[in-house]
Amino acid sequence: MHANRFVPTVAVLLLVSGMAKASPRDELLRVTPSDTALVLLVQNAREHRNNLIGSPFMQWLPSTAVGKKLLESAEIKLLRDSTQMIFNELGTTPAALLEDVLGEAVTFSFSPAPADRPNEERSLILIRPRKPEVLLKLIDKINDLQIRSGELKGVEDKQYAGVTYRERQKPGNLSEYFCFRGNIFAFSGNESEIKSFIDRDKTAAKFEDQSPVLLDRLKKLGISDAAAVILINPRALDGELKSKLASAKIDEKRFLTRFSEIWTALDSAGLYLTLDKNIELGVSVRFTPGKLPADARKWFTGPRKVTTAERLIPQDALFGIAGQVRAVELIEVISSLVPHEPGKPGVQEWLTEAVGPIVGRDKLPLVLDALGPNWAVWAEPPAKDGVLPKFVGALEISGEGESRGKSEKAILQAVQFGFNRARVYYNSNHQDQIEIKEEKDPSSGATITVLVNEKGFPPGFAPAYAIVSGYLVVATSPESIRSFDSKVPNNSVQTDYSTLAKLNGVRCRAYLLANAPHLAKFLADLSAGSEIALREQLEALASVLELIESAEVIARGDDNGIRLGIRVKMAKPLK
Amino acid sequence: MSPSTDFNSEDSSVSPDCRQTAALLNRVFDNEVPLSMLETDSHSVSCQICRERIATAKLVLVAHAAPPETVTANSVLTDRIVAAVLEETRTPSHVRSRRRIGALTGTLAIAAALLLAVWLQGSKVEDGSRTSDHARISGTDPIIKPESHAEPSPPAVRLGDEINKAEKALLGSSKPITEPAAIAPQVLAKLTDVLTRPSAPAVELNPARVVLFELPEAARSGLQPVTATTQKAFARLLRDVASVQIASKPN
Repeated sequence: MHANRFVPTVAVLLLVSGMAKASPRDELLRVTPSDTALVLLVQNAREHRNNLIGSPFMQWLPSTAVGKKLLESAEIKLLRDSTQMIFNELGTTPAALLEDVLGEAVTFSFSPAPADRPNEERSLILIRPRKPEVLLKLIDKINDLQIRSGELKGVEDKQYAGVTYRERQKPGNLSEYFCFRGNIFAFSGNESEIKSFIDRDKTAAKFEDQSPVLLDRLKKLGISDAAAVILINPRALDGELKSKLASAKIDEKRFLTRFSEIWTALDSAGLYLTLDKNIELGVSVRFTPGKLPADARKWFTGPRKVTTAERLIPQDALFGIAGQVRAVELIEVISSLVPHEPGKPGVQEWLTEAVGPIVGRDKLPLVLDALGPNWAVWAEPPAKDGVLPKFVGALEISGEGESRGKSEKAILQAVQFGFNRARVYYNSNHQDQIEIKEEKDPSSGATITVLVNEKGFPPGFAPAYAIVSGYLVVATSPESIRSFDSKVPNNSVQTDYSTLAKLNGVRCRAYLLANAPHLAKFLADLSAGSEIALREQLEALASVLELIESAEVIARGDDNGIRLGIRVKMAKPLK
Repeated sequence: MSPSTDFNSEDSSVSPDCRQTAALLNRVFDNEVPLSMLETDSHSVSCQICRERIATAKLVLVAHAAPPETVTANSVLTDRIVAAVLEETRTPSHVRSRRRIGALTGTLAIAAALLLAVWLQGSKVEDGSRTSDHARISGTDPIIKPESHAEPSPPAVRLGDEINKAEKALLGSSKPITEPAAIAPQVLAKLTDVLTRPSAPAVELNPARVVLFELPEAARSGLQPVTATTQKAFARLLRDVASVQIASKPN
C-alpha cells in the first residue's frame, strides 16, 4: 500500500522541481561572462523601490532636518529637472523604467585592458526587462533622439552566426553595439563582446541542467539575494598584483608578499548591499580549501558567534569596538607584515627594548602571553556636569594561579609607570597640579587609582585604572570602572555572527544635542578649530544621526570564508 | 609646467590617476589647454577628491574672469579656512587616510539608500501620470524600425549632456549626508588628541612604530588592482549609460 503511494508522490515531486523556472537573475547570470575581473549585479530593484516608497522611513523622512535639506537642496532640484527632461523626451517615467525595464535584473561585467594591449578593455551591460517590448520602444526613442541631435550618425543592422545585432554609429568612427536574445538585452562598446554574448546564449547549458557559474559563486559567498553585488574574480587581477609585487618598494614588499599569499588562495570575493528592514553593506571573501596559509585561517575563516568581548560594551554606550585576539598572536601577525631590515630592530626587539624595562624583561613573555583575548574600547555618556564622553578600555588578563598573579602585578606596575610619567610631565609644565588618589570600589573590591586635578581638568575628567574581574580597565572617569561588568547575562542571545563595533545613533544624537555648544567651546579653547565651525559640524552630525537608530560592524564566517558587513538600523523601518 | 611634473611628491599615497588629473589642472591654470578640457577627465567621475579639485578650479577661473568687485573679508570664514589648513597640515597622512576610509564606509550605505529614497520621493508624484505614459508604450515587432517624424520638432535634446548633468547632480546631492557624517571621525580624533595631550612625549619607538602606521597604506597599495579596476569599471559604465565620449586613459 505504501509503495503504491510512494512512487507517484516522488514522481510528482521530481516533476515539480524540474519545472522550477529560472528567476530573471538566473537567466541573466547564465549568459554573463564569468571570466571578467568584475561583475556588477543589481536585482529586484522594482521590489525594493516599492518597499521603500511605502515604508515608514519614507513617510517620516521629509519631516526630519536632513530630509528637508536633501529635498530642498539645489543638487536634488537639478537632478529632478535633468531627469524630468530626459524622461519627458523618452516618453517614460522613472517608475515605469524601474517597473518594466530595469527592475528585474541588470549586470555589468568589466575587465581592464592589459598593459600591453590598451584597446582590449572588455565591458558588457545585460538587462533582463520585465517587458522586453517596452525596452525595445525605449531604445528606438533614444536612437531617434540622438540621430536628430547629432549625437548619433545612424543605426545599422549586422549579422553574426545567424543572429541580427545593431551598431550605433557615432561621430569620430566610434560605435556601440546591442542586441536582444530571448528576454535578455545586451549592450557593449566592443563588437566582440556582443558576438561572445551571442555565442554564450547559444551554447550555455540551460538553467534546469546546470546552475550558472556566477550564481554558484554568489551562493558560496552568501550574497546571492543582495540588492546589489560587485563580484570580483581574483584570477583576472593576478597579473596586476604580480607586477605590483615585482615593483614594490622595500618597505611594502614584505606586506605585499604576505598579501599575495592570501590573494592566491582567494577563490572569489564580493562587495554587497542588502536592503531589507535595515541596510547592510559589506564584503564577502571565499578561499580555496587548503590553500590559505595556516596562520591566516584564524583571521579569515571559521564560524562566528557572539563573543565575550562585545558583551563588555554596556547597553548605554555611545559607541564602541571589541575583539578577540591574544597579544602574542597580534604581535606575530604584525611582525610578519612589517618590513624587517637586517641589523635593525624588528617588532619583537622593539617591544623588548621599549616595554621590557617597564614590566621587567624577565616578565615580558609572561605579560604578553597573559594579555587577551577579549578586549573592548567604548564611550559612555558624560558624567554629571561633564561635557566630554567617558572613554573606557578593558583588556582581559588570562592565566591562572601564580603566573596570573605575577602578570597582573607587572601590568599594574606598567600602567602605574605610564600614569606617573604623564603626571610628572604635566605638573612640570602647568601651574595647576595633578594628584594621584586611590579608592576602593566596595562592590568589586578593586583598588582604583585616579589622576585628580579639579583646577586643570574639565568637569568629569579624571583618568583612572584598576584590575576588575580579570580585566585591566582604564577610563577617563572612575565612575566607569565602578560600573564595569564583565559577566555574561544568563539570557544572552546566541547569534551566527559576532559584532566588532557598534554605534547607538539615538544616544549619540542625544549627547550632541545636549552638549554641542559646550563641546565646541571646549575643543576651540584647546585650538582644535573655530568654535562656530565646530558647533555647526556637531549640529550637522546630530541631524544625520536622527536617521539612524544603530549601526554595527558584524562578521559571519564558515570553514572557507568570512563576511564583514556594516549593518545600519534606520530610525524607522525601510519596509 | 609639463604634464610629467610630479604633483605633491612628498605624499606617496596620491594615486597615478590623481596625479594626472592634477597635472591637467596645472595645464589649465597655465593656459596651456582650455577649461573645457577638464570635462574630458574621466578619473574625476569616480574620485571625489579630484572632482572637488576640478570644481574649485572652475570657480576660481570663472571668478578670475569676472570683473573685480570689492569684497569684504568675513572673519568667521577666515577663521574656518585657517583652522582647516592648520588641521590638514598637522595631521599625518595615515591619520587623514584612516579618517577618510572610516567616513566613506560608514556613510556609503546610508547615502545610497537615502538618495534612492529622495529620488523615489519625487517619483511618487510621477506614479500618477504613469498610466497615461504606459498606455503609449505598447508591444512592437521585435525587428526594430526607426520611427518617422514628419512634423518639425523643437531643438533636439542632447541626451548625453542631460544624463551627464544628472550624474553630476546625483554625485553632489549626497553632501547633506556625507559631509556631516565625515565629520564624526574628525571630531573623535580631535577629542582623543586633546585628551592625550597632557601625557608625556612618546618613547622613541622607531622604526617599528612608523611602519605600524604605514600598514594601512601598504594594504591600500595591495588592493590597488581591485580599487583601480572598480574605478575604471564605473567610469566605463557611466560612459556607456550616458553614451558620452570621454577620452579613455591608457593604463
